[in-house]
Amino acid sequence: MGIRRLAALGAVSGATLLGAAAPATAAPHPPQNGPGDQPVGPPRIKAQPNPFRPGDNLNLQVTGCEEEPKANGPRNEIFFKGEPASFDDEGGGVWTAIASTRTDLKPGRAYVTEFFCVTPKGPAGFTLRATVAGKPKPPDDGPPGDGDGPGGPPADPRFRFDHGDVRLTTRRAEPGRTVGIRVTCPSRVRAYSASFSSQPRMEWVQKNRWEGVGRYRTHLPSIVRLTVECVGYGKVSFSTEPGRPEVDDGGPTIPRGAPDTGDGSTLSRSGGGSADAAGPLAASLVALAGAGLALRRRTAREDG
Amino acid sequence: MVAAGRRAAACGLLLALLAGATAACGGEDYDGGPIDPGGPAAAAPAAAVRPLPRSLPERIEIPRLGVSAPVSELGLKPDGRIEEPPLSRPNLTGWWKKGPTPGEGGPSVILGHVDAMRKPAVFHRLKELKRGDRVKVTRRDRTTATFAVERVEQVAKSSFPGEKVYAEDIDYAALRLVTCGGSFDAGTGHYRDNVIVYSRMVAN
Repeated sequence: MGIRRLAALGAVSGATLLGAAAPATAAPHPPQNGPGDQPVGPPRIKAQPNPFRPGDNLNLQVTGCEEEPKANGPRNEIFFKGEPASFDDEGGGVWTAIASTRTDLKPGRAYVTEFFCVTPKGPAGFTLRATVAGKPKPPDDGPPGDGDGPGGPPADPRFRFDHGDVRLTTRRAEPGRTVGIRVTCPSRVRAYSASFSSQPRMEWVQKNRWEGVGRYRTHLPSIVRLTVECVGYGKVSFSTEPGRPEVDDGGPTIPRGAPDTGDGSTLSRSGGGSADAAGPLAASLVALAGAGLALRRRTAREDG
Repeated sequence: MVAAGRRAAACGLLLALLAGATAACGGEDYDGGPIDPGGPAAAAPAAAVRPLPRSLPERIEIPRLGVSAPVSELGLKPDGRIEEPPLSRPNLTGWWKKGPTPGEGGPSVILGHVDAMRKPAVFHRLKELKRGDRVKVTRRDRTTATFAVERVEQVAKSSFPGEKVYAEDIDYAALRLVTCGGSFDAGTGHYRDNVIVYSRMVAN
C-alpha cells in the first residue's frame, strides 16, 4: 500500500469518525463499464469527504474516462493550483486521486472544480461540486471603513471580499422577479447586472451590512450575470448557464488564452509572416549597400 | 560641393529604400488601435433592437466580404482553451457554445480561420470590415439576426481581452467575430495577434 493510499485511508477513516463523510454529490451512479472493460457513459466524479474542511485531502474517484482526467479547466476553486497532480488508473475507466483543498475556503459555501478527460466519444468536461463543512462566518463587525471612495485604501486590511460575503435571497433568475442582495462589506457596495430592469440601490443597514433588491427584466438571456462590488476590496460575480436558471458563484465560462485561427500557410509561400517583412527588408539593404558602394567609388575617383 | 550634393542624393535614396522596406513590413499589420474611419462624428449604427430568444446559429453572411459560411459549435479543449473549426474546412466558422447565441442578449462569439491549407480562409478579409458593415446570422428558428459593425481591433494574443469578448455584461445582443492577424510566429506555429470585430444587433 503506497503512502498516498495510506493517507487516503486515514483521511476517509478520520472523516467517517467525525461524521463528515457524506456520499458523493457529483456522482450518484456506480461506474458503468461495457464489454471489454471500456468506460461507458459520460464521465462522473465523486469526492470524499464531502462536505470537507478547508485544507482536507479529498479522495477522488472518476469513472468513464479512457485517459487520465485533468483539472486544468478554467475553474478550480476547490484545490490548490496543480492539484490533483495525477490520477491512478484503476482499470475499466476508473481513476483515483488524492488532492489537497485550499485552506482559504469559506465554511458553508459550495465550490466547483472543472475536469476534462478523453472518453470513447472524445474529449469531455465534468464538474466536481463540493461543500465546505460548518456554518457561514458571522458578520464582520470589525472597524468601520474610512476608505469609502473608489480607489481609497481598504479600511480593514484583514477583510477579504468573496462570494461568502454575499447572500442572495434566491438563486433563481426569473423574468420580472426580484432578488434580495445582502452583503458584508466594510466600505461601500455596488450591485449591478445588465439583466436588471433597474440597478439595485444598496443601502447600509448596520455595521458592515448592506442590502438591496434587484428586479430582473421581463425577458432574460440564457446567461444572466450579477456582479457585487465591495468598493476597495474587489468584486464577485454570479451567473447562470444556458438551460440552468440558477445563478451560481462565478462569472460565465471564459476560455483560456487567445484563439488560434490560422496556420500561416498563405504567408509561408512568401516566407512566412516574420520572413514576410524580412524579405523586402533584406532586398532593400542589399540595394542600399550596392548604391552606397558605387557612390563612394565615384566620389573617390573624382576626388583623386 | 559636388560631394555634398551626392551625399544628399545618397540620403534621399536611403530614405526611399527604407520607406519601401517599411511599407512592405507593415503591409499586413495594424498599429493596434481601433479602426473607426468615420470617427466619433460618423453616423452610429441603427439603434439596438430587442434581443431574441436562444436559438443556435446555422449560417453567417458578411456581404461586404462575400462571406457565406456554415456555423459549427465550439467548446473547450482539455486544456481549457477554445476549440477551433478544423483546418480541413477553411470555410467553416464556429460559435462559442457556452455563450449567448447570436441575437440573444449578451456577447456571442464566432471564430473563423484567416488561412488554412495554403488558402485564404473564411475570415481572411475580416480586418477590412468598417463601421456600419452588416453581418447576418441565420438561426435554427429561421430568424436572421443582423448586426452592424461598431469597431475592429487587432490585439496581441498575449493580451487577448477574454473577459470582454466572451463575458461582457451588456443588455443588448452583440456579436464578436474573431480570427488571427499580425505576423506569424514560426516557432509556435501561430499568429501573434487576433483581429476582433465588435458588432451589435440592429435588426431581426
